[in-house]
Amino acid sequence: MDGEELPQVTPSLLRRADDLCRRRLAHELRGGKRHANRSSDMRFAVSNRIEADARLAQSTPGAPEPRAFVEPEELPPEQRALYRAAARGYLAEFGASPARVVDLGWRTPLAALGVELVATIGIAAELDGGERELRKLIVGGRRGGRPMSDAVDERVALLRTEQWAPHNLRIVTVDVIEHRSSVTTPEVEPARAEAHEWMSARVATLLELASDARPRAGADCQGCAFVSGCSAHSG
Amino acid sequence: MAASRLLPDIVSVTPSAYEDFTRCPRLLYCGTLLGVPASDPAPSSDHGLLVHDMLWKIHTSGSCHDDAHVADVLAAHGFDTASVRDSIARHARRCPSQAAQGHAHEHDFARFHRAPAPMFMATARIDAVWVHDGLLDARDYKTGRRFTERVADIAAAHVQAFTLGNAARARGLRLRLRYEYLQAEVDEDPEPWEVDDDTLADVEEELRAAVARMWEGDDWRGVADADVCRTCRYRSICRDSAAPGEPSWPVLMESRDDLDR
Repeated sequence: MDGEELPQVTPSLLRRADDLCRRRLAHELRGGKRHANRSSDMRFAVSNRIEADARLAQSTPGAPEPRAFVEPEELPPEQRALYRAAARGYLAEFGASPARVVDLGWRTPLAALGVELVATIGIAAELDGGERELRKLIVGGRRGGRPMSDAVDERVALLRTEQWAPHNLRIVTVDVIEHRSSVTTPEVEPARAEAHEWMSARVATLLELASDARPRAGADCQGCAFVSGCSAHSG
Repeated sequence: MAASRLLPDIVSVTPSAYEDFTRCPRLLYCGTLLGVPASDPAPSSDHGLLVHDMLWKIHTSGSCHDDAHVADVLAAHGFDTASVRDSIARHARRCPSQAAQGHAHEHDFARFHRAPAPMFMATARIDAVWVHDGLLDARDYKTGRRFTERVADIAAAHVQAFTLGNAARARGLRLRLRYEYLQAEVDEDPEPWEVDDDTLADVEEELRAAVARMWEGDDWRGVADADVCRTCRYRSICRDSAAPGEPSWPVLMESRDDLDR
């Protein structure tokens, strides 16, 4: 573990832990990426930028300001084309929704479980009537028929918004390229209680699986940041 | 675009990524490295995925040579159609399961290249692996067009062979890679590839050299060949496209001028 950092639980680990290489799981939980093989970040350039600009576009109360979406000239033309389509998609979906966007950060400590929940849950918008809306953006690339979000997404959203949205929460998931969206409005109190219970059980499972820490060569080696020192690849 | 922002320390090499790179470097660039979703339609892979899934289920719970078992599996999943039945029957005629001492389906293999630089991690999911007659007999099921006469000529097969090589060597088996075409339109499979240690060493060097070219490339220039571009999933937005078309994204730029701005 890096210093005093808590184990880091992500939506991906919550979904994939049972089938994931135990060694990779243990390292991912420890969050020790500063000692890891460097990964590339260009795949996320457009989604990160569109989300940042959407936050900027509604940093003060009102409708989103289209001028906040400034085409990133430093990106290659294909990513700029994607950015333009995504910006238009965002404005088509939320352009008429007055709100103020707030920053919920990336992480929420779950002190009782001794872990930190790390997840980009979307753009947190406070609507004019006081309602809390979470806008989760997908920038294309999803196979048809695949759900826009799942129960893990919803539970993570409920846990990460506990302070910000104690009484009501509307979760809007939008594919800003394909123009598909889904909306869920959970009954916050019982749904959050269930999310806590589920997370508690799931974290216990993750920690138990990670205590094994045996490597297994396979698909999980792709993109693994912890190949250095792995006995499965020592030959 | 600096390679250090595009490529991780350990470059991932998969059969499809390497196939993309050998077809057109900008195809790998747009898809795998930049993460841009396809802007143009590609042929549907639904039938192929379905047949793969049914073959996996048939083999893990029985035999493809048992007609009643095959019918039960297809009916249980609601896919008992003439097209799927025909594909399974064509597979059964070539399936070595009756002589096999062991098998695995939809199995993931990985092999790390450490030195000489650059490093890469090759991974491949193999549809079926059979052990029989001193062979590690790996199969890739195909439901599309056949493009070549020999598996050895297929770029993706080189990654598959590289990842399978250690598994074969560790068991003292010869490695054979076969592409099994399951649709009626293809009469004959391409010639299978029997891969010995010398060939595997050549393949490793070929992949290493390809990864080195990725690190050296700062422009990722596309091939700009109309025959290649015509079916590319980025043909409408690619900087170097020789066959620009209408993108399938519902919202996009108004014109090529807008794109080139």
